[in-house]
Amino acid sequence: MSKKRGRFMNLVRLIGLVIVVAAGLASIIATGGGGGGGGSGTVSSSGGTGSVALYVADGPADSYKHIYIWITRVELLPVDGSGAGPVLIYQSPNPQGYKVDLLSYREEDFFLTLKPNVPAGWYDKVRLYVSNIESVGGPCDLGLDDNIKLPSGKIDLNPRGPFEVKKGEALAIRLDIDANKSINLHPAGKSGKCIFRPVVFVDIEPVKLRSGCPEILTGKITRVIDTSAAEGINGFVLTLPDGRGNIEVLLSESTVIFDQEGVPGTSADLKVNDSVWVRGRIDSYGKLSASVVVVGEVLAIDGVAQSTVDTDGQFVFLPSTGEAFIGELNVQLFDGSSLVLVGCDTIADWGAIQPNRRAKVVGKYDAQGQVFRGIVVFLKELEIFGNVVSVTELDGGLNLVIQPSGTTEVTVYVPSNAPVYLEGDGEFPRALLCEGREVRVIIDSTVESPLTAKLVRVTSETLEGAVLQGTNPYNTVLLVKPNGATAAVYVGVQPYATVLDLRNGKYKPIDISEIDPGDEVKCFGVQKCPDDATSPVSFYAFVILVIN
Amino acid sequence: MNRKQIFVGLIALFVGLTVYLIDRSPEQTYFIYKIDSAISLHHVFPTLFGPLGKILPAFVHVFSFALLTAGILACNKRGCVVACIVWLSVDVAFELGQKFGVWTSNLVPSWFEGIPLLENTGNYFMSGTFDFIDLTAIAAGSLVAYLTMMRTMERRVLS
Repeated sequence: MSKKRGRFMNLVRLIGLVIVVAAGLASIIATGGGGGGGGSGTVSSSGGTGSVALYVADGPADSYKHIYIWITRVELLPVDGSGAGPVLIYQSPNPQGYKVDLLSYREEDFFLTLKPNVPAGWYDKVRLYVSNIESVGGPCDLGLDDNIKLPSGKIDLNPRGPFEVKKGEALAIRLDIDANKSINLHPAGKSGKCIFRPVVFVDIEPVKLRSGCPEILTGKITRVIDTSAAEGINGFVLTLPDGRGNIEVLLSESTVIFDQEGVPGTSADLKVNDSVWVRGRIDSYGKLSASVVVVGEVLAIDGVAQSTVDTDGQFVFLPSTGEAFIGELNVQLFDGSSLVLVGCDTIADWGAIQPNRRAKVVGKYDAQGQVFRGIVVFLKELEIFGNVVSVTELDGGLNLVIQPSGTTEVTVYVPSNAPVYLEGDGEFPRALLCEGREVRVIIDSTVESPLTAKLVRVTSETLEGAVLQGTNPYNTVLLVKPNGATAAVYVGVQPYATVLDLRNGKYKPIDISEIDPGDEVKCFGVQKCPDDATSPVSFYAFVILVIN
Repeated sequence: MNRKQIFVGLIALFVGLTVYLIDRSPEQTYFIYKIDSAISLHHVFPTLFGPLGKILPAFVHVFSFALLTAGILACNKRGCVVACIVWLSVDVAFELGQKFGVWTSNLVPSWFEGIPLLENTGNYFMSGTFDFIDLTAIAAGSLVAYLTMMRTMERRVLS
């Protein structure tokens, strides 16, 4: 009996040991990075090709009206040791480059191009070539044609780690060019210009995981795809303007098509050489699944709804000042075809259109009927901008009392799952959300009461000065003497803070431990909370730029 | 079996898990990202471990698995040393693999592609960051595991 028991126990031990060893090895791999996907090999070693979708975005820069950047070329650089050369993702046919107004893309990303046939494998840098930067408005606008000096037109961007282009899959690369941090107000030598030291956050993820707004593209149909015997076409190849490449657009039963006149049509209305406006999402194979296609040019008008939608599907809309129309417009919606969206992608019913609701209507104007044919209505999300007056904990969330300028205080409930971000940067600890913070709160329109936040963005502050004392692994605090101040302050470096070395035209992510006494830094973050009397830290930094 | 050692090992494992669930954003961790980012508590709770969260997983991994191994096998003193050294070597090898990421990822067989968990092996070596502090934490983890084993070892009563 005891022998049997002994054998049984040995078996149990053996099984237990196998489980522990397997779990031990698995847990090492399982806790590694998730975003880059898996696989092996360097460029081309795994064979085949994938595609790369390139997006450009910008953080807030309230003091500027426009910030134009001319992009001439974008390349991917394979990891060292692969022996492969740079892979071209975008090349502007215009030597001056493709002009992008960064501030037009603060709420949604700008889709620059989709490059097919990118060799599958590992890459570790994105090389961005910029020919010019120009701002309108703001402190750098001195009436010069080239008001911002660009120290180097070639910028090697290091994402958080190497990334893989997988065979047959589309990878999204998002270049978030943070204009506020990039444009340095110090005059460049005797020229008096501002200096552009690029601060670009590179986000890379498979297209299928992208959660931003759907793409809105305009271009020309260069080929019709008709692979089935059924009536109508299956899709078309859309050629984007300014040499931005081609993308295959797929149509499905749910795709809504509007004809040249702006009334619902069918895929038979789509012909080669037609200009089209397309809204849709890029799928994991790099093709655009269209939700709306409109033949011809469309108008997009910002304004305010003046009425609800009547029984004929019409509502009154007042365009904002500066739009193509002056005075009230009747907007006609088409049952089953016109889309009403809250934000960029939340489908709402027509009842969501209410008087005084800010919106953007996309459609075509019928001059004869004097009606605007509404194809898509984007209802702006309600936003509250102001200073936090008080913060109280409530039901696992927070109750924020906000003082917007010129109006009375507003109380907003921030549920525990509502993300809180530092404007233009990453996540923001709720513990630092306190009295005095300037916040922009996006309201969740699906919750009627209480006023509930969907997202909170905290305005970033800046601290610039010389480092007197660096950090150590167990105390990530810098002692910095701010410019113009007499006393030094402690700057607490947040976990996962972005630290960039921008000295001598470089662009290199570094570890906080590489900052030495004497370095000049520009920190983006927030001051400590007024009720925090105990902490020696005066400023919490989320992004640190080493500038000299 | 040594239940005390298994229990301590499991508790440590749980602490390590909380680092990934709370302190790290879901896209930084394969298993959370793969299962469902919604299981992450990163948006729900404030950061628990602060800067310690960077090195805790390296410490906890070797500590907990050495204890679990020793606990399941009811190791004697020599067995405990072997368990600690084996897990120390495994963790150091994986850490060094990150230092030579290109070379290591070339050793990963192509059939790992598409197999849950194994598919992340290349990414682990390529995207992971080699860090001497992690190596120190691994060494400390194995040493503390050994000391814990000595404290929790069940003495056999001689009859």
